[in-house]
Amino acid sequence: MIRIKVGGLAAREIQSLATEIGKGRVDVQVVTDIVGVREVAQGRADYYFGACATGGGGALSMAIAVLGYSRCFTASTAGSPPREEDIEKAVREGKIAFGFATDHIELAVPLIMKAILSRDSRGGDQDLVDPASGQL
Amino acid sequence: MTPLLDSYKVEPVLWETIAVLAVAGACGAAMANRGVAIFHDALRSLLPERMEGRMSRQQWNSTALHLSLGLLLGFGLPFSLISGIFLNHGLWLGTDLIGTWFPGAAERGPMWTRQKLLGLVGAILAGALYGGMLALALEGVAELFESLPVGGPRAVEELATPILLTFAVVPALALAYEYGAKHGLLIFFVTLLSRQGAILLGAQRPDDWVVALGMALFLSYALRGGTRKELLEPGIRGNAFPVQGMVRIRRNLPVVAVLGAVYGLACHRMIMMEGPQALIMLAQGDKPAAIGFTLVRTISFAPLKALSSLATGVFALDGLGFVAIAGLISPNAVVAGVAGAVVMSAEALSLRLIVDSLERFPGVLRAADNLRMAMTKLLEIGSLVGSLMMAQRIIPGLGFATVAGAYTLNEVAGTPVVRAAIGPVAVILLGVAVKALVALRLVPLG
Repeated sequence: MIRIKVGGLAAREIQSLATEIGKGRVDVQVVTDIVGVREVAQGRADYYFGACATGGGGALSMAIAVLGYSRCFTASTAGSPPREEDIEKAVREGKIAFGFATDHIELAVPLIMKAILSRDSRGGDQDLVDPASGQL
Repeated sequence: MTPLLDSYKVEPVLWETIAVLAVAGACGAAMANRGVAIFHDALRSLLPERMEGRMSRQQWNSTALHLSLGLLLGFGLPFSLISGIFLNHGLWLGTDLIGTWFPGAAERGPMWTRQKLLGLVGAILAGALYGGMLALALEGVAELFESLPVGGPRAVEELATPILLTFAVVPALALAYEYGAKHGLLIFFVTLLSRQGAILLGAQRPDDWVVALGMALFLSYALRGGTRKELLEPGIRGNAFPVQGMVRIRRNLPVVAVLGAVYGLACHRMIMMEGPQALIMLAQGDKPAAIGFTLVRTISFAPLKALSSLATGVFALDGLGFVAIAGLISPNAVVAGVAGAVVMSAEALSLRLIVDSLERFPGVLRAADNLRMAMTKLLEIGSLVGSLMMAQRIIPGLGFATVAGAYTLNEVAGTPVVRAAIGPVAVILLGVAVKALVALRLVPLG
């Protein structure tokens, strides 16, 4: 079970979207951002999602403060919609907190979920293993 | 249904706008350069990464640009240009970039070196230049709208009306986000009934009373909402939530006070303002509504700003938001400057207290998020409808079609322009186009 915490704006909308996409493989909970990022930091949750009106501002403010920027990824901001290849790369690199603009929820959440689910199917941290050949 | 206009509006003259925006721009760039305060909520959290050497200068510059530029061009500028008053975002997102681009506190080594001193001077000059240039751009667009054959400057009223009239729904919608549509609907009916009640009782501004009642209901829910356990278990306090910032913010208090004075004055003179709603209310002279919007926005943003300031030691450039209100209600410029300095210092000093209070009333954090979401959603509606009406006033038929087309195409393109701002962007472009059509004599002159 992949544990996802959702904070910030439109959290319930994101929760139902992520739950639907996850089809029983994910447990998505709505929390306040500060609680969510702490739980991820303590390893009691796997990922944090946060949206704000502009993607760049409040969405990841707490996540950056608690987890550090190297573990955070801004999937979209005002003026730049989410891009699939960037999100896939971010998930592969082990980013665990994702921020995006509320305008882009319907674009960003499916892309992030897809990347997370496929990483999970590949066995999470063994990303360097090519899923087809099973070799490095 | 025209809202009652407050006759307060004073037009600042051009040189005053230039001077105030230049000083505010210089202040913003200097604060960012010295790491005292940052406007952008995410860059504020990010600055310690660079100060502590976990992020290179190049990484910072590209990340900062990526996080700010769309917001600056697609949110800060459109609302500023259409209202003729500067939205904080338009000025201070830019000075965040300018200030941190010059060598400053974020660089390694001693706090003061010759290079850093030059960096500070450079940041101040570039910030002032940026502010001054924005003032000229603002004036240019204002003149453009005044020179249009129809509609003219008063067309902004059309934009203001739907934004004002959706204000009454904000508390009900915010409640609905947390407790579901049923609770929202109940509060919605209570607020609508109270609006009619206020009219029957002879209130000239029924929406003010409705918002006040709605907010009171909303806050009573918020204070009871959430559980202590929810917040204490992973915990803000004691559990390594970084709160080391207080020492740093306290050390910077004198400069924070100066910043507060400048900001209070700029708001008092209605040259700068917080939030698109308040901006548009001021543009058409409705000061009480501007104060109401600013208050609700402040309630919705203060927890976020307080937490990120305390975690990083970098204060929010516009404080927690109360300075704008102090500026608006001050009777004259001197009082506004003093009040701005006092209020912003008080905000800085009370950060710890605020975060402790958030621990006692954890529901307030979610409530603030929901309030921001509700305001955003309703601004999207108000701004779209208002822009349609404003465009229609500027050029009937073509205007309506332009805004409707811009809105839907923006959706198809994946919302590159913020939903709330696409209407105003279309109206500004329409203004330019109509001006060109008039010059080419392709539009019959009214």
